[in-house]
Amino acid sequence: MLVVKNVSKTYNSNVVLKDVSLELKKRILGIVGPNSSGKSTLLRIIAGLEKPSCGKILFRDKDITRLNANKRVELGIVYAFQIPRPFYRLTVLENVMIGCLIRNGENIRERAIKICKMMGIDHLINAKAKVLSQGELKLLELARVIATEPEIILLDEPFAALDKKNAKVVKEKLLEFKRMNYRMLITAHRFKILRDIADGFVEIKEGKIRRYHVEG
Amino acid sequence: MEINYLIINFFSGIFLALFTIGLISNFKIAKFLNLSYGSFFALGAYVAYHFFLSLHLLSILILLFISSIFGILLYVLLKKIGNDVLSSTIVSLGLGILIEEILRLTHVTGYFLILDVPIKVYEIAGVKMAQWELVQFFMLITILTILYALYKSKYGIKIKFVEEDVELATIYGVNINVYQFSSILLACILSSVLGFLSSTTQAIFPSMGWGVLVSGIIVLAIASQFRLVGFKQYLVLTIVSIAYAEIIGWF
Amino acid sequence: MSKKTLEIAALIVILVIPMFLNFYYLWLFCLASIFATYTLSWFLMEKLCGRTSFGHTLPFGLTAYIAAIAIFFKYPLYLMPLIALLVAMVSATIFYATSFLDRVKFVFATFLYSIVLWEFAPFVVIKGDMLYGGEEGFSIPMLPTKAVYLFSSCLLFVTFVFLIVLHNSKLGLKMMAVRDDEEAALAIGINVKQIKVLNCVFSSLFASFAGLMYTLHFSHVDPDIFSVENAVFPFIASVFAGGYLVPVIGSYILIFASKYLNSILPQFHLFLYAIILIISPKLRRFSNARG
Repeated sequence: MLVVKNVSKTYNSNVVLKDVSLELKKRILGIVGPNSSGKSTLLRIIAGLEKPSCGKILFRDKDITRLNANKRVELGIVYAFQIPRPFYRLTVLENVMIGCLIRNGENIRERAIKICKMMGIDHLINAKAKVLSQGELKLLELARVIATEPEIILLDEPFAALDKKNAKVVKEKLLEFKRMNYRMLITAHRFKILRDIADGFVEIKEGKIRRYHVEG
Repeated sequence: MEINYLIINFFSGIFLALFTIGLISNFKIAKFLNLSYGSFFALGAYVAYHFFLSLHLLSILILLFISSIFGILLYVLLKKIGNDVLSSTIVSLGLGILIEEILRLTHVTGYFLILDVPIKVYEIAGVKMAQWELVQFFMLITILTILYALYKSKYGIKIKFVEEDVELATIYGVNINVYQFSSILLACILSSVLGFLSSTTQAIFPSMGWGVLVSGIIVLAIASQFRLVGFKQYLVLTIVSIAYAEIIGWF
Repeated sequence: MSKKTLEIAALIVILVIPMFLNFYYLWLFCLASIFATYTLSWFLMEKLCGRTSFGHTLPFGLTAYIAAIAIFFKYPLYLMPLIALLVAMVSATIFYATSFLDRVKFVFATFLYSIVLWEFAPFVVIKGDMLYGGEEGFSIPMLPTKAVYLFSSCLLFVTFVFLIVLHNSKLGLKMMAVRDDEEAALAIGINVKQIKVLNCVFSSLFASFAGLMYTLHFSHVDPDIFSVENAVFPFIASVFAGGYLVPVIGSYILIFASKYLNSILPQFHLFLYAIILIISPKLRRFSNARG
């Protein structure tokens, strides 16, 4: 479905990704590696937020390398930031509604409320995003992503900067996404944290794929 | 003939470099674009209009006093009101307009000219140069030397620290207020001294500083692209100013 | 009655009252309505796209200047909206190109546009068939104030309603998303470039038409239309920004206060502008905290 083919990324003379290739065969693929290993850059390249120095991104056998990020969202590839980046001056409901707008359907407000309920933030719908806690912001980020009706969700370190309690809540939501048959690419520092969620793993180090543990 | 134009433009560049040194120092150390800078230039010219013919060089003391008062006022306003680049810049714009309006209200006539000052001309290697042009040339050399010595001294590293990251510098115990205050005060004085010195060569009116400020901001924008800190940025600024004046003069 | 309806009703009252006043007040209200449109055009960019422009004198002043020259050379009046449209497109292109800079640099760059225009405007001196602009500017035949007021009040009303409708539309929501975080908006599927283009076009369009009204109202333009005073006017008028009526009322108050202060001492109103600018960060923080 999604294929990353020989992707490299260089900033000035600093090589961040070296000839990375992978394929999203399973529903949920974990990308694991230490800090500065290139995980986030890889996800941002797949999302279209950065252009690769060379290599290709294929989605359903179609080359999407030169496609803008917003067009990729229309195709169903959506990215969630490591540190949540809500639209701070808008309410929670408006934030989710913006996600819904991409599909141009009717009853956007109702759909957004439904998603807020699903994510457990329906009691906050009229609150401005700037007053939310880090845990609530993470849930809002996930809600906004779901609102775009994605096929593949790119999650950049979803447990970063969360305490144990909030990490547990986020993990439950991701398991719920799994049950809902969403395809996901999730980055993390360690295997352990993704063990219950991911179907397969890729280890990335110094911009190169070291190990590929994907069954089937 | 063309050599003469090159030399005239070269001295315009020297003036621009002198003017922009204060602007870039405020931008890098005090973290704002000083939009009152042009008004300080006009302030200097008005002080020259009132006192130069009667008090001669003593009038510089009056200039230092007046520009220091407004410079301190700018610093206090920035500390009390401005909390980021944008708000500080807007506060400085407000002060600039305030100074300009004080000049406008206290001088009902639109334009003034200082006519009674004889312009001394020197000839060096066959090229004629006005006294004022030589003064600004030596001023630039002196200021660059002082800046070089400052950046080589024990304070140099602290100033570079402030230029790189104010917050981090504060955390590591650098008294940023001293550096920011000095930068603002000296820049305001520099601008008004330049206005004072150039007052005999142009018409004096409250908004006379805007034109030169625009050139200063353009030079600052170009020089900032090199992302330098320390003495190098002033050196690059001087080169950019001269190149800018040569190119603009050519057209 | 909703807040929106109340705001529109209040604006209608403000626009109708001058019809029953004497010539001087009609003239003053006309000027205030033109500057209120100018402020709203600026506010559209600031409130919906988060870009603070100090260069709205570009569409406003340039339209005023070019329209005045065209009228001076006896071009028919019905061509003037076309001029406003053309200047708006040029200005929108410049604003859009500038919007690739970060928000702080955008402010600096747009401010530079104003000052550069202000410095260059005195050089507009056409000699063939005489049009000696220069520092004094130039005059055109005067139009009936009532007619100009009718047009300027209609323009203000249309701008006001457009802004309210836009604010509550899907497009408005997308604009506000871009305002808050461009990259996050892109990541969620919003075509950021398209949204920014639309915002620049709308904002420039209203500012241009306000500039056209200014020429028709004053029958005179001079380089001061590009002055710092005009460049910062919308910023000062909307310093207490809340809904869309606040900048309109702010513009009216500023115009009336300026005329009153000018009657005490010429240019005295600029003191007021300077003081408001100096304390504006505090006022804005207060206004945001209240919001």
